[in-house]
Amino acid sequence: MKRKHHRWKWTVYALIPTVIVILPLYFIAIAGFQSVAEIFHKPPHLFPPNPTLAYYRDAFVTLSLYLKNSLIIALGVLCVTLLVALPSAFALAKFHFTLKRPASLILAFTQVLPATAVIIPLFLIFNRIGLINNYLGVIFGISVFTIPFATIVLNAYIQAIPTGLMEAALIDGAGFLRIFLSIILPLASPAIATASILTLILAWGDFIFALSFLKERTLQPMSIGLYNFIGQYGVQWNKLLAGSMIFAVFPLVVALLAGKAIVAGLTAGAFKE
Amino acid sequence: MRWYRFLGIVVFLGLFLAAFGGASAQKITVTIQDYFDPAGGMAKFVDRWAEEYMKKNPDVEVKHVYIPFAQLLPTILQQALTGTLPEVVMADNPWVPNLIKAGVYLDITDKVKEWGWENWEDFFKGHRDLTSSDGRVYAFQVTTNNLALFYRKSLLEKAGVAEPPKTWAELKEVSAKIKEALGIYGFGFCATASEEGTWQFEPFLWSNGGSLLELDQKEAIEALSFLVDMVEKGYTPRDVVNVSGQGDVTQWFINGEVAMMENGNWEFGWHLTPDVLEQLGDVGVAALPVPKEGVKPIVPFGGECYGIGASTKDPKKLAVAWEFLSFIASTDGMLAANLEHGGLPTRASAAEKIAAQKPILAPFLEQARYALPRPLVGGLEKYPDVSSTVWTAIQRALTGMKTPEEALKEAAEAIRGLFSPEEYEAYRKQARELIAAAAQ
Amino acid sequence: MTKRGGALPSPGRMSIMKGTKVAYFFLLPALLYVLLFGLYPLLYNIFLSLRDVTFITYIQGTARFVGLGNYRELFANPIFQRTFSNTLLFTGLSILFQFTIGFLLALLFNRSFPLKGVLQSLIMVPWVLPIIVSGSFFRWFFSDNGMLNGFLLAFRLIERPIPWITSGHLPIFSVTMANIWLGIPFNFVLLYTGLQGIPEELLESAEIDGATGWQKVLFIITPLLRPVILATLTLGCIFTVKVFDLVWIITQGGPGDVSHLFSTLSYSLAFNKLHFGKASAVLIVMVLVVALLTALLNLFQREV
Repeated sequence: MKRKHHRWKWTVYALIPTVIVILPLYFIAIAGFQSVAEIFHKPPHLFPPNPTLAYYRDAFVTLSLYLKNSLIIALGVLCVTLLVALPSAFALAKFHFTLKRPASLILAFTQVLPATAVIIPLFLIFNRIGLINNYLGVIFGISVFTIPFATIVLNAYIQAIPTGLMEAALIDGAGFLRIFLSIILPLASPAIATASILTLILAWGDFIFALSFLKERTLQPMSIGLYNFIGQYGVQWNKLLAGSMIFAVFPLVVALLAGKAIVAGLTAGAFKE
Repeated sequence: MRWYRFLGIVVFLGLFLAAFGGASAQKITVTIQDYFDPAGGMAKFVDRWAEEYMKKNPDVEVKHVYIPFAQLLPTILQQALTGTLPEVVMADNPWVPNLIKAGVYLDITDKVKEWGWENWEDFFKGHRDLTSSDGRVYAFQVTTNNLALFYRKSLLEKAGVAEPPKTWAELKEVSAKIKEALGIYGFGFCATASEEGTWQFEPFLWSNGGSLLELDQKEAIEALSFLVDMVEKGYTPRDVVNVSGQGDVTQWFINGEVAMMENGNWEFGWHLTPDVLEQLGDVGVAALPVPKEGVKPIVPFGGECYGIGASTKDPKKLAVAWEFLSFIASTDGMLAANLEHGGLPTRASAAEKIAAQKPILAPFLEQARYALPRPLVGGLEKYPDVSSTVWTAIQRALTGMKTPEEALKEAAEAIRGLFSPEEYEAYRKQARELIAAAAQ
Repeated sequence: MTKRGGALPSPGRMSIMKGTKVAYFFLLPALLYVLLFGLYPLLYNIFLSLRDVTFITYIQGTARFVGLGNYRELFANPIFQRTFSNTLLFTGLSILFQFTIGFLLALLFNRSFPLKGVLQSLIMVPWVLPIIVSGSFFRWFFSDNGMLNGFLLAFRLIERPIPWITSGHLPIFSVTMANIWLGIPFNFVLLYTGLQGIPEELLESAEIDGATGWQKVLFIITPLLRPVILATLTLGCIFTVKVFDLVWIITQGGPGDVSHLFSTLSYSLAFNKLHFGKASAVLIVMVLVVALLTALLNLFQREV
């Protein structure tokens, strides 16, 4: 029992920076319960004076139309990204080949251009191959940024997997594909979980690709839905902030689950002697 | 490993759905694209027209696409570049001359002649100048707005002021009294690093006889110095350089942090809705204060234009687009749209009718008669450049980085450098003529 | 061996010749993807940056070739020079603090305690909130009549409001502070996961040998974490130099163009002034700066 009390001390230590980090979140969360005038009140209210659920409800109704699209796009990006990034990370981490340095540099640099610079040229290509106004175009667009990113992340962890295992398997006659699937993937699962969650967050939050490549309201994701609350004459702050809380729920839940998955992957991935 | 499989299935399903997403239509599709808030009056007006039209014409699908304001111009650019402009293209009025030159809009002069040229002449001159070029018509401006002085009667009374200020000197006096008696800011306006900043400065500039193309003249320097002084004396918060838009200033107004503000009639459809007005009970509107008595307040006009996208080749789609356009540009259509939207009509016949229904719009309607089209007094297709130079100068002066004189001298030089000497002279003259005409 | 499926401190590479072809095979999808969809935009922007492109010539495709003219004008322009130093300052300070705080948090969380899972996912909040929201929060927070000044005034730490974003010299630091907040989760997650890969036995045996907490960090953890640290710093650099939305929402690069980064300056040139050629030139300079930083970091990658 002594140990348990000892452990709570760490919770307290961890609580301090966490609270500082999420302080803005508190103000954003309560803003959804106030009228816009109340939000702007000086000094700012620490508690909503007349809390009402009306704005959260309105925001939810407006945004729920876009939820399905956000899910499809985010999951699609995850799939494409992992499919392409995992093998690449494996190659970069464990093999010597002449084009290696330039290859990794190229991967790093193609993410440098901000999305706004990439949109028009990509639109030109995608338009020609019919990828505009459907989910695939947006998915492939976002993946341009998430693939190099995931590759770099996975590469770093795969480097740490002992080569001895691979060599042993080779001697046993296993092909590289087999090694990749049965050894590397399970051992890298914490890294895959991390890369996945970061990719999902990036894809969920994407705004510019969806805006430029999707012409129909029925296909747009939530990130654009939020802009329903930003008119040309001003912002409906209460609904926008309420909507943002709703918007943030999915990635937060994924973060929570992924945290558990990282731990699960570690204990399950222990290799057997 | 179980979560792997689950993830894999979900993801696969996702891709499967994605590949088949994005339906293709059997009927002909006509798209109306704009930045009007989907929950707002204008959007609802357009949606209703679309619904009714589709009922009567089941082989047509009318899509109303919303693009957020900040993204609309980049989107139009992209569409123009790739030949994918929608059938009905809406634009904020300052963009229109450029868009016409770039060939984004179809020439609809013949259609207007068919419809009845008197319709065109019913539009106010400023709007006609803006949406046409060399005598050919390219778009209609269907709604407009401008700026006036909003004030809280009860707050002014508490400070011992009976009437809203009419001149700049009075504005300062009243603000001083308000600061002393109530400890709040007297006057709020918007000075962001965007078109809104330039837009809100223009009334002060033009009413004093200044011009965007000659900012180093004393009239312009006086105008800016006046505003800088208001901030320095504490009558206006310095945060005006950092609000997210004119709407934030309205929040200060509603909260009683500023007693008066420079803002536009759209606020009646936006933050100062009937129930808010009732709650506050003391909101009044007056013409903007002028440099000295007897001078007219000269304001810029805002508002949006609709036109037909140049990529529209199919005559059937063209017909549908024109149906929409001619409806919203007709007296009754325009009146109905503006009543819902909270904007001002751009045709004399419709303006008369709305004056009767909404008396609080009187100062705006009066100013609208001689309001100026910004690009025509600001270098036409280089107006965006001119505007950004102006707002930068305003911000530098308001934050004390430079004196108004320095900031404006730099700006004036930069603006002259944008044009060839002949172009500059032509635009400068054009601006002078329009300003002088409005001042009479 | 180890319960945590972690590494023995001897990562290695395969040097078997046969392996080379296989490597290319594995790498192919990524390379193809990147070349098609990543290289073309880059070339497109280089193309634009060498021309005098305005709104109309852009749409009609008739822009005039001016060679390095755009670049020359940029480097002579004081706003661009300021932007250059702003970007370096912003990136340097952001990464320094984000990385350090993220690392310290990762170390702190590297043990089990009640509610750890919940707190961990809460740390993700800065990254997960839509940027329009966090940006707007900071704009309000730093305003003359905003939360930070309110707090400082209430505790009498200052007498008059500090113009965090309404003056000439402070805005760049204010946006840097906001960016540091934004980048903590990213650094935290990467470093934390890396820490999981370090076998407990190593740390325990070091303790037995008498190593203190900080010595363990310096001599065991950091070297083992090298690839992860490099990846984190590399990605951190790339993302930070690119930051656009946050700064745009808080200051739009102002007031009066004092807080521009390459990204915001480029956007402003493109969509406010419609100078697409110059906007692309700014972007190319940005790409070169990042390439330089990345190459420098790459030198630290250990080759075995």
